[in-house]
Amino acid sequence: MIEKYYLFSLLNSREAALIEKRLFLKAYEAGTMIFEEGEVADAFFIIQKGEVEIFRYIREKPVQTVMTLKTGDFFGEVGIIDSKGRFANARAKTDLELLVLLRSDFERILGDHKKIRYKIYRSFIREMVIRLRRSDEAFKAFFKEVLHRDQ
Amino acid sequence: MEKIEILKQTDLFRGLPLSFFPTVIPLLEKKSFTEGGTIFQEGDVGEDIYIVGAGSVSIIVNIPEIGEEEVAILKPYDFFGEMAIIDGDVRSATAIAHKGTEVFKIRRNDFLSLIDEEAPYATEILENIILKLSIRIRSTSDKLNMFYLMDMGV
Repeated sequence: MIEKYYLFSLLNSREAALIEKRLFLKAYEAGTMIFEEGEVADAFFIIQKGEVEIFRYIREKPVQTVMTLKTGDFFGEVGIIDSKGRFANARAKTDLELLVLLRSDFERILGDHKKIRYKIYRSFIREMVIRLRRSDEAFKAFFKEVLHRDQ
Repeated sequence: MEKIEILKQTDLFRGLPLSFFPTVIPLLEKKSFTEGGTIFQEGDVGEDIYIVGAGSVSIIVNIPEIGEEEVAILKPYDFFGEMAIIDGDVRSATAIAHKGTEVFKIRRNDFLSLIDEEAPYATEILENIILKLSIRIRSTSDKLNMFYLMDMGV
């Protein structure tokens, strides 16, 4: 029943079943890295249980937390979409269960089924806009913080 | 700038056949701006999506107590204003025209009809938007990283 996940919520049961067949479960202990900045993106992920921290290093220190994701969220889509590799690091914040969809399977399904492609794109876009708005806020918050600290 | 040329060159409609453009051309409305003209303002309800026809457009965010920060400069054929169209929320930034700027706008409902499930090239248009959003997610994060570095005195 993957339709409960936001990314698949527009799919009908037949479409969802096609994707479900390709998903596999992977468990991580808290603190484990899932992927690292610069790596080739060969899969994306849906959180079945637990929390994931997306962050970037600034001079070897993990300073910029891009976002924290929870059960039901997906991540890793940016590298899949534009093929430029991972732009950030992903780490298990808690013990974690992920549903993994390999890029090759994702592309095959979307190539073969235009309706699925349309519906997943709709969900991608909606979520990416929400995340962009959040990061725009983070951008403003950063400036405010620097200002208040310097006063 | 001819409308057909805009449609052929903009990333928003990349990969679409010429035969589709007669459907889109009537939806494009040209607007001209002089230096400093406001195309839309942060906080406005987002009614249109825009493609730059000529000149250039600055995207500016207002940071309370600090002032304005330019986050992007858009050139001919770049498209902008898509976020508010998608989620129906307000503009997250202000768009200011530079000298001799011409933009082509498509009204929200017209654009939504182009990305309706039954529309012929909806998936292709969505893919073009997704590509742009992923570039923006990367560049916003890069920019923030750069500011963190500067703040650390590197």
